[in-house]
Amino acid sequence: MSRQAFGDLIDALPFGLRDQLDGYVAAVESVADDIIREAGLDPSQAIRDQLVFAAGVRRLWAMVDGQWAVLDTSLRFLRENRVSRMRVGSAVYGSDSRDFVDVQRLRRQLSEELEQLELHDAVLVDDLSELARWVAARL
Amino acid sequence: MDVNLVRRRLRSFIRAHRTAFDHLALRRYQLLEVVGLALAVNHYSSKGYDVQPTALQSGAFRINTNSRGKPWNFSRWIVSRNGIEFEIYANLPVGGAYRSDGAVYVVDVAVVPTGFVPTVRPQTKWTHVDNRHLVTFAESKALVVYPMLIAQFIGICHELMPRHLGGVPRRRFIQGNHFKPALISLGYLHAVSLGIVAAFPGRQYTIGVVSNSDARLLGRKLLPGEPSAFD
Repeated sequence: MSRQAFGDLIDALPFGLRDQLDGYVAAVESVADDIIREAGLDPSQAIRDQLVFAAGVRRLWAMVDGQWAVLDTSLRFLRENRVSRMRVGSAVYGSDSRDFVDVQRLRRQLSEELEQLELHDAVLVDDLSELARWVAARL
Repeated sequence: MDVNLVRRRLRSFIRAHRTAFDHLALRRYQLLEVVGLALAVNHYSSKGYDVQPTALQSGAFRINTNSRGKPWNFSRWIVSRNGIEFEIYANLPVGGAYRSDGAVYVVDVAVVPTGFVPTVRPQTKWTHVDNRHLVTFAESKALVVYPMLIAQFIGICHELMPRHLGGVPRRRFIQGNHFKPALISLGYLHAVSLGIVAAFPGRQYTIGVVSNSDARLLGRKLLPGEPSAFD
C-alpha cells in the first residue's frame, strides 16, 4: 500500500528519476522482511509499509543531496587549488553558477520540508536497518 | 509517520519545483564523469596524497565527457605522495591487456603514472596509452546495478586488468593504496547483485562496485584520513 502511496508522491517527477525511485522501492519491498529482521524486529505489514515508503523518501533526498554533494565536492577540491570553475560539456559550474545555485536551493527547500515533516532524521540514517528501527519507534 | 500527510506535502513540493527536478534529471547524466573523478580524487586525498588540478582552460577545469576527446585538450588531476606521481583522466583510451588483438577501450576514469599520456598534441598520431601503464580505472553508469551490469564490468576488467580477476595485483598497486577497478553507479545495488559482489573476495576478485555513488560523497569532510567510497 505504501509503495502505491510513494508512487503517487513521485508521479510528477521526470521519468528518469521516477523510474529509478520506483525500481528502488520495489527492490526494498522485496527484501523488507530481511531488513526488518536484521534490525532485530518482527516483520509486520505496518512496519513493512512504513519502511518501504520511508526508504523511497530517503532515496529522493539522496538524489537531490547527492547531486549537490558531487558538485560541491568537485568545486571544493578545485577551490582549494585556487580554481573556481569546472566545465562539463557546454555547461560551466562554479559556486555562483545558475546550475549549482539551483540545486543548492532545491536541496535547502527539500531539507526544510523534511524538517517540518519531522523526517529529517529518517533520511540521514546510515542504512535501511536503522530506518526500520526509526519507523518501528513511531508506529 | 503519517504516510498520507507526507505523500500530500511532498507531492505538492515536487509539483511546485517541477522545473528544478527536470534540471536535476538532465544533470545526472552530464555529471557521470564528474562523480567518478570526484570519488577518485577523494580516494587519493583520503590516502594522504596531495591532489592538484592541472591543464586548466581559461581558468576552468575542463572535463572530457567524450570518448573521442583528446587528453591534451582537457584538464586532469595530479596526485602525488612520497615523490611518486599519478594522473587521473576522464575518458582515456587504453590498450587492452591482450596486446595482440589491438583492442583499445575508453575508460571513464583512468589512473596512470605521470608521463605516459601526451600533454600537448604530439607530432605523430597518438591513439591510446599502453595497458601496462594503467594503474586502475573506474566505469561510471547511471543504471541500477543488476547482475548483467556486473557481468559486463567483469568482462571489461578481464580485457583491461585480468590480474585483478583471480590473480594477484601488482605490488605497486597495493603499495600505492590505489582503488580497486570499480564500477561506479548512480543507481542502487539490486538485491540479486548483493551476493555477487559479496563473493568477489572469495573468488580473489580485486574489483569493486560503488552503488548510489552520488550519495557516497555526502557528509564527507574530504580531509586526508577520511574514508574513501572505494574502501
